[in-house]
Amino acid sequence: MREFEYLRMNTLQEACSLLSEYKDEAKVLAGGQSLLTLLKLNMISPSYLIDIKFIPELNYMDFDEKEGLKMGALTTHRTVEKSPLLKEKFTVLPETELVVASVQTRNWGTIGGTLVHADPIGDIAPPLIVLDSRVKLISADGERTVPLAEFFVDFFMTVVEENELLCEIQIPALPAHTGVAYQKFSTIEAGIKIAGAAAMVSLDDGLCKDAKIALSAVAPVPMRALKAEEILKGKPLDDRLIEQAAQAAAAEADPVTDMHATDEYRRELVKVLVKRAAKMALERARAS
Amino acid sequence: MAEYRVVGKGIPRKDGIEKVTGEAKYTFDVTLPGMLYAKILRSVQAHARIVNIDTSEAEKLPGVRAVITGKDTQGMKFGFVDTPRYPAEQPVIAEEKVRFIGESVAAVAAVDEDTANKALDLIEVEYEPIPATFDPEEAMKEGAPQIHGEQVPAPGRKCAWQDWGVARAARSYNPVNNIGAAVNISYGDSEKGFSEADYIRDDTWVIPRTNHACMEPHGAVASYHPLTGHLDLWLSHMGFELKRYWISKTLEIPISKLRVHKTFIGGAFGGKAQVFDHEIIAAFLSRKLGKPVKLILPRDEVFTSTNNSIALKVNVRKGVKKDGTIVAQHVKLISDMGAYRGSVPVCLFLCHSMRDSIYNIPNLTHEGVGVYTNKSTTMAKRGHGSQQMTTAIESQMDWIAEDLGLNPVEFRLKNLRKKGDVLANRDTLNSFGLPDCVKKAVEASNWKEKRGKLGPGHGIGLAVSSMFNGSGYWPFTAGSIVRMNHDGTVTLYMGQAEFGQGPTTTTCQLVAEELGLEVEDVNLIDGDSELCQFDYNNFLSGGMFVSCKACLVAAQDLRQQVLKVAAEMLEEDAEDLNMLERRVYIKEDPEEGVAFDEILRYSIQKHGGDPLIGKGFCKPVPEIEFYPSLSKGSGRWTDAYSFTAAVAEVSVDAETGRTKVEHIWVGDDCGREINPLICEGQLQSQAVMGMGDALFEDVMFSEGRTINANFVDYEIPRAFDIPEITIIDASDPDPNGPFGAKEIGECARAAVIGSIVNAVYDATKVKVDSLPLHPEKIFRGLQEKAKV
Repeated sequence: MREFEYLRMNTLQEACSLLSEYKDEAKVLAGGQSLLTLLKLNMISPSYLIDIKFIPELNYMDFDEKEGLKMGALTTHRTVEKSPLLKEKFTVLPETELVVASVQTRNWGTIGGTLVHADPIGDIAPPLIVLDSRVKLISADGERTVPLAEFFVDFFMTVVEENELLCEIQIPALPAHTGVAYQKFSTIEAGIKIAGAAAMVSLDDGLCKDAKIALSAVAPVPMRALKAEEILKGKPLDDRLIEQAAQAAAAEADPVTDMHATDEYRRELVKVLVKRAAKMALERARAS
Repeated sequence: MAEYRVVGKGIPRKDGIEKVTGEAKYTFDVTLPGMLYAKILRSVQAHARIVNIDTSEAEKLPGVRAVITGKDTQGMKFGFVDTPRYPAEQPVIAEEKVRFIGESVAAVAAVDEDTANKALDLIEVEYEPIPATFDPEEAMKEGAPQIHGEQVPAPGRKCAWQDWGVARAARSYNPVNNIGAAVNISYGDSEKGFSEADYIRDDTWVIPRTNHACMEPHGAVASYHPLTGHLDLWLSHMGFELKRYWISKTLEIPISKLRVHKTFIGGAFGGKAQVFDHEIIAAFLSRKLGKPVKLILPRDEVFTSTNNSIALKVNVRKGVKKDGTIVAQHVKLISDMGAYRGSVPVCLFLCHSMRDSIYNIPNLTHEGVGVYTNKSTTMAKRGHGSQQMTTAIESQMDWIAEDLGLNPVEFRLKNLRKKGDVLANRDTLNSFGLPDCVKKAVEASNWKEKRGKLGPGHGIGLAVSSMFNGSGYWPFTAGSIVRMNHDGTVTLYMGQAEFGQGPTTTTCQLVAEELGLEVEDVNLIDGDSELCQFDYNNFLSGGMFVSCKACLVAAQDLRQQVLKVAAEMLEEDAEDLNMLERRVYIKEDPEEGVAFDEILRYSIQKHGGDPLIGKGFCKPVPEIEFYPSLSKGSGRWTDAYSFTAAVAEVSVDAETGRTKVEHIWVGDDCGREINPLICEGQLQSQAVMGMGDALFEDVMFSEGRTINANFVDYEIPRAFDIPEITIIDASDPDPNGPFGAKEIGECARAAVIGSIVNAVYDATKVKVDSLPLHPEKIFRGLQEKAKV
């Protein structure tokens, strides 16, 4: 590990101003569950580590039926897992957290940090994508919001500019008769993910009004399976159609072979996981 | 069964409070005044000549105190095996060439770790790569790159076995086509046996390296005193004897000037048994600089530069009669040794001897080779050879049963040896709880209602294993002293190291039982080479049967002395006396007696100052003089065997191939349970570890580089992966064990692996030929089956 200067921030403004000064010489620490590993492995070697973990204005969770959910970037995985509000409004998120690594890691890591880290095997991005989430980015020059589906650029790369911070995650309230589910596959419980899939299904009068499918660990970025979604939209859903969508999603995926699995196996898993997630989402939509 | 006061009670571990409160001091926690920190530069080449090493820039860095290379340690060789046939061949620091990625090339001592690390970056090593070989079967072919030349010991060098006085005359072994070790054991007439068989099956398994995954990484603190020539050591280890012997031998420091201090040890599992380059390097640097030196390995170096378990390709050919009687077995092994022998020559032999106590096979041939490859070295891991063989043999037992329409339980029971059987090497099965292990595990798991009846995707499997209770190995004895204290308590000196297996508690139970004391009345001094006696330690699971027994014998000696003095004081015969609660009383009249402190004072006053010291010792396999032959398997191996029968129930996701273990039942024969709580802990940990081997674990290489040298990519079971585990005591106390006890720390892991392998087959009917049972392998197998 190279030497770096550790800078602890107390306000958002302070963090933004330092980021515009140091730009790519700095890395933002928002917990450290991923960043510290990269530092130890010498995969990154910043000169400055800007620690935002103690900025109080980045730690909150607000919900109203109109605006939906607004969650500060420093919300930890454990907070999401345990939140009664999320358990009621966005059940899939606390459910997903149960398979995110271990309790220790969930206590440590933050949602904002995880998203900016942009590891394609991350668990929380796919359900957030199918929930139509947006993220708010802030810098000394202003702020903007970006749909999460357009947030990821490549392995460990996002649209976040070097002077920007991810400060908020926004999730619109779920429409009526909507179900969401996430499925993960790993060899050991909560281990390295080999493939993951999230599905959202909205029903209207027995037909699929809207559907979203997001995959992870099977492409350089968490990705939407758009063709699979099209197969479902506007139709009465049944097992056969879901099977077709799952096949389409597997074809859309762009997995690689690594020490944990081959690309062919990952594609096969996409079929299974999309099928299971979509069926579960459908059941939930019907029940809601 | 005799009733005991302390033996057989599940009292909490004596070392538990220190461990859970963080008070326990591990090697890492040792800090000495003026201490320096050392780091090792590791080879990035799998096979290369070292053209030049330029250390000048590193030496100039402020804070650097020394930089050493193979030139400084020229000629120092170490190894787990060092016989005339297999002389130790691993250099402390690579000399003219490197043979694996991770081999030590240079080392630095500096004022802190960061400076040491920076200095490593400044060392320039010029390599000239040599073609490397990574696959043992490729390495065995004519024309493959040769990793070692002729292994001629330096003139005048005595090998360890000669130092120990147990060497058989033999010429040193000349590796041809990288074959660096060989075993060939046979009895009966295999050819005839196979000709009489009605059915022959031939199966091959490939078992990869797995990591010991100790919580505490390897490390050493060495402190050399220039004025006296003494070397103090704190190590993460399994026993001080082998470490101090090898550090003494390589550095030529008299063994009596070398002290290994007691440390807490965060797991070993066989992987910390041998001496390591980093330990010798720490000691070398400390002597060179006259300062204490700390050298702790980071986790990736534990994976790449110490050792993993032994990789084996196991081919088993078995001949049986129609009725299921086994008549012949022929085993062929190929071990992917890595760049140095490690413990492979021992493992090849243990693969046979660990299983020979299980089934009665009249005609047997067991042959194997260890092949050098440009990979890290390999070593014992909890069961040393047993699990590789058990996987191959126990899965084949099920497949034979299926082919012949036999019940797999009955098929095993029919072929089991019997209590009292004498093996070909003259080992005798004085205790043999295995049939009971099988019956109880089968009953507890409700096997009969489940096997073949659980429906698709669900299965149940059984496997059996066995384990030595110590064997002939340095220093071939364990000694102990139990001393009476002023207040009538005792102090016990035990050499055995506590690395989780429990002797700091169980030995005190043995001694307390013998002397009528409470466990709290036994003060323990342990794991210190200067304070304690010679100790055989725990090698090949001799902890209870050899080391703990020596402590019991010392307590028996003290008991006799105390009774003799008390008899004199009470004017009674010693036979009419007994002891309890720090006093000796008359059996017929328990109110009449004398307290231990009075007895001690009396002894000192009337017996020329005799302060009452009990002495005990125990030799593994007492009646033999020599180490068993590794290559021929002749000679006695051990004095008793432990046994396990494990049953596993699994479910397999038909769509993904992923296995979930639902329940493991472990029926175990460890002789008498001295402490059921510790026994349960040992068996649970073996069940979990075995599950890791069966399903997840595989140290993976790419061109000789370990690609998953961390606990993110190398996945081991965690708390939420652990299934329900039921422990079943099926013990047959052994007449030679302390209170009938045998080992409990190693036997079960192999049986658990086998039981999971068999359960997955029962659930899927997919035949896999390598571990671990990764979901993708099962998925492919299920796809193949669907096509047919």
